[in-house]
Amino acid sequence: MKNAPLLAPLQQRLQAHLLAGDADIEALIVADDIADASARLDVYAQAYRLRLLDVLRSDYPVLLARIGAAKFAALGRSYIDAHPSDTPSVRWFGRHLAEHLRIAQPSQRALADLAAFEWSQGEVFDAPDAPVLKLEAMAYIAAEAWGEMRVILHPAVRLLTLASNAPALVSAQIKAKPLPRIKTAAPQTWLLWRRDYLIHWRALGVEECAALEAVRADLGFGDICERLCEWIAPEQVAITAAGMLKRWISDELISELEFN
Amino acid sequence: MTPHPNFKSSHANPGFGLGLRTEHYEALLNGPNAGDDVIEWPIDWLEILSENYMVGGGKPLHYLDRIAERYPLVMHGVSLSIGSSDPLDRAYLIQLKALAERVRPKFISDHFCWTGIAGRNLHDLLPLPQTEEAVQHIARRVREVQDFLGQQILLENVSSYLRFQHSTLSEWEFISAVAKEADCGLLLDINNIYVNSCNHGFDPEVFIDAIPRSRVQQIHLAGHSHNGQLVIDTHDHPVPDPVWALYAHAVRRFGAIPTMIERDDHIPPLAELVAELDIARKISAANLPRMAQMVPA
Repeated sequence: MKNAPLLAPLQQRLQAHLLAGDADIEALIVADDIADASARLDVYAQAYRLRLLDVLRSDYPVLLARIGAAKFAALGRSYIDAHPSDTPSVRWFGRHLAEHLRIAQPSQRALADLAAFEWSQGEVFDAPDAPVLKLEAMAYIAAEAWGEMRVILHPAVRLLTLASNAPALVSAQIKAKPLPRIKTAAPQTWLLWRRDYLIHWRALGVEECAALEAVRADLGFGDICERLCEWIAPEQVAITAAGMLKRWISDELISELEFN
Repeated sequence: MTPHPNFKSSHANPGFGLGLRTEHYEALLNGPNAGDDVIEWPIDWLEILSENYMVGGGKPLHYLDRIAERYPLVMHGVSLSIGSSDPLDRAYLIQLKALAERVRPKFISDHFCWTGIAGRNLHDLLPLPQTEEAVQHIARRVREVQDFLGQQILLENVSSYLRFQHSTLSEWEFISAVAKEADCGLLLDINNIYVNSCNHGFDPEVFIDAIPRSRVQQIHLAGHSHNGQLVIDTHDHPVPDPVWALYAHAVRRFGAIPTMIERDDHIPPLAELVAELDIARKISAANLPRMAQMVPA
């Protein structure tokens, strides 16, 4: 064949065709009695979108159930075009869907929340393993060590602020109950974590949220207590913060306590 | 990297395996007779999809480790993109090697394909032009991968729905040339040979007869679908009769090769796949050259 393309330009043209249909490549493909070049290319073009749509369906089952197959397919197609995969594993392909929804459908903020919540669940599911602290460890904290002590969260712990009832939809789906309508709500921070390989979540009060954000910011326990003084009387702060720590350890949120 | 000590493979008993699927985790760990003492399924090894376990932790790696205690594993990837004109993805190779150190597989395999360029991944096994340029390009990269992993890899022939006008080699010439040039093994997918013979109009036995015996180290079996014009490699049906017939031909040519059934969609209960694997065992036994059937005492 005259002017046969080298490997790199051939791959550029085929990829451009499959991603956006914007490269004429039919002349390079063998056509025969079995199928013409267009039918042969179509197998790849269709498989590309169907495969990635399947990945999104698997990552966002509640969003799919809420908006229905047709709307989800339209959303998926727009996402696939806007965010072509750039990772070796399809595991990460859908990570921008919540952001995509916020931009593409700004009036549907609650749906974007639902996508963010489902994605966070996936992150909790296969986040790195780490040891979890036992409650007995609290008994060995020396009185003078509490102030400088740093609390190390398990890698699966996530904090997510939502302004919708998205978690209620996920709970309903898990219990095989009818999904409630998705609606906006006052902002609320949710804690997600993994215990015995299962995903858990609960809403946080403003004090506990502030304390966990301070933990994430690597503040010492004394500084966390100082922050809590915004809501809690100074004489109650230490006991309240210690109570929070006890609950976090019981729930297997904590990997380690660090002492300098 | 030494293979799992339980890997049952010799020329007389190559073993018959299945693709590990999440749907079968519990069945594999509980054995076929739930409630009684746990006994093993008659599965000699399991093939994992490497990318599914390139995660931080949690359930995927928990089950992987538990199942690895019971069954030898081999690794099969889809994102090496050995034929891509992009540089090899070093981060991916580091993850692949880390997983191999955890799993200690007898085989690490991927495909004769490319999956994307310019940092994109189309998550498909895209076809390569069968040219001398591509042979040299892939062979160079395979050698690099094998050096990095410290282990020979296997490459699998893929199903394809198009051929390029400027290809100068047949598919069987192409994969044999890469295997020789790179000194890698071949994972021969019998279903893919059948699919391609339908889609490109060649005799599938000619394909098998042209492959060097010494290169074939693993065999895949699977089912497919028809879209009206072309045969599509969907892995969502039992192995059909023409693929079994071609497998018998492959056994007659290659002898006893570790063989497994791949099912990726419409996944049936494990017992159903184990029964299908028995068909492979019987076909293998009936078609092995007589010398290969003789097991030393």
